[in-house]
Amino acid sequence: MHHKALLSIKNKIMMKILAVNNLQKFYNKTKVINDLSFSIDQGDVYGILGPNGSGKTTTLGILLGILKCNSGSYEWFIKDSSQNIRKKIGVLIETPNFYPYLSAEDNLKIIADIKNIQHETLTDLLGFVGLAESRKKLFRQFSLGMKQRLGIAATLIGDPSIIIFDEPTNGLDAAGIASVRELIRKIANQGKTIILASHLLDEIQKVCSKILIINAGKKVLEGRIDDLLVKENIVELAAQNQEELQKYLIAYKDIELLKSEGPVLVIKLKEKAGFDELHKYLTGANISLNHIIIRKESLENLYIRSLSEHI
Amino acid sequence: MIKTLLNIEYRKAINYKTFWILGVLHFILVCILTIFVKELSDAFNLSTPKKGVVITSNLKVYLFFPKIWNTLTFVSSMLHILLGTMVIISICNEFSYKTIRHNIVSGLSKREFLYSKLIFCLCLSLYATVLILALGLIIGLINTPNLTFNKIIAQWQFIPLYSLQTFLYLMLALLIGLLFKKAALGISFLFVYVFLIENIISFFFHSSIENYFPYEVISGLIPAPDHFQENSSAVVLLSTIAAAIIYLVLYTFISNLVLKREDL
Repeated sequence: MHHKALLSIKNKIMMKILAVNNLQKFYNKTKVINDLSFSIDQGDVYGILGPNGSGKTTTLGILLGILKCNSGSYEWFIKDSSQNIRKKIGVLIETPNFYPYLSAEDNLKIIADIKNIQHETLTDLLGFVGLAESRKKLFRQFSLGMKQRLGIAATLIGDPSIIIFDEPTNGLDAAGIASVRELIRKIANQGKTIILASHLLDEIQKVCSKILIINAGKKVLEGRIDDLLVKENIVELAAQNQEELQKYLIAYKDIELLKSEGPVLVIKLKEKAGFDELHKYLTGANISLNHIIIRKESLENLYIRSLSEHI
Repeated sequence: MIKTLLNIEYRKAINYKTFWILGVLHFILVCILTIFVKELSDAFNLSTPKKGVVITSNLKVYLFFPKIWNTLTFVSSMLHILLGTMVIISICNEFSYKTIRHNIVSGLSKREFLYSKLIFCLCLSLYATVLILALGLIIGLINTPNLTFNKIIAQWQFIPLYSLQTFLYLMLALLIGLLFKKAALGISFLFVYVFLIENIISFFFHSSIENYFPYEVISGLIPAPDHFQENSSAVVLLSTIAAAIIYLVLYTFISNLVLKREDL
């Protein structure tokens, strides 16, 4: 009984929210989305990373019903009828698209009407994004940062459990970027599923738990960001007797690279070689380690490496 | 759903200055045309003075019940271009501001989006009809001697026909807006089509087919009053009404198809 309950909790935690299968999209004869498949679990902060023109916005456009795919399929697993799925998702695609001659509040009222949400909640949302004072101001009088924050407020109408941001910091100055990132982090902390498409690595690394790297519409890499970044098995080691440590490391068969970096020795383990075996080996040799750090590859390195391997 | 779509369109339109300007201009011009209806009638007849045709110069004849319904609906139908311009701007704005994308990703289906624009066209038709109805009643009641209820309602059929005509015209404008997506292009095309293209095409068709061209059908719903054109019988053929309804269905179908098939 206890085991079943745990399984049920696990299933709920890992519930799939979106499954994309073999999506293809052509513009004229150019294939812009090429057999793309991925899935997103509930509660993921999922980053879609790729260079400009890699197909991020097109993919999201297809998933949101504004673009048609030529083949493949996708399915949202959200409660309620399929017709209302988009009403349960908050979306900010690139620059926010609002009526310039309407006030911030009126623009949000239109979105609230579409989603069948009462207007009373809008004041709080405008406050959440720091636009309470400017709610009567016309959208065309807003700065880019304010427009982006209004776009974020619009995504939160109806308290959706899934939020999609496509290049949310595009064109913003440093302060604007920081403020939008802070908002996204606040939203992520509420346990919502977030899909964030960006070409800015820093943005993805700071916010996302999982990433999908695409290039020319094709999947290059997908996985948990922490798992992907430790893939190289680069470890920093130091012991009281550094010479003895170095001697044993040279003798170890699964080390690809060994170099000294100041007070530590840096090793790169061969692919498929585990650190646990090395640790046992050193303990067996009576080497007492006082410094062990598994180095992470930077996202930038991983990104560039993946793209170059893909080419 | 209709109430929601109506709310959405109302919010979009009521705060848009251009619509106010066009709406007020339409109202003023309808009133001016009504006042100067006699001069307009004379202008129509100026080029075809024929022997034996008695052209009345009594302004009030045009504005007596029941003739006033035909007179007013015919005269004000010349101003449909202003309402059509509003519809084209309304559609093209959605594309140029990319708000159609935002509306769709927020949960509006493409069909609901089209319905919201149909509602906008319906509301404009209703406004134009109510305006003509009010003007007709006021002016008719002031001018008509020996007023009876029968006189008031004798040619009442021009009111629903005017409504249908306005709606059909606006649906054509809606389709043009959806096809061109740029307001300047759409409005220019509407002008050129109404005043030039159909006339040129008609020139090559010397048969009754030309009576079923889109704008001919629209015009045919409100024929010129007999005191405007000597040969006018002021009778609307049932076939014209049927053609108008077929065109309405066709415009809606094509608009839906255009929206459905295109990436936004």
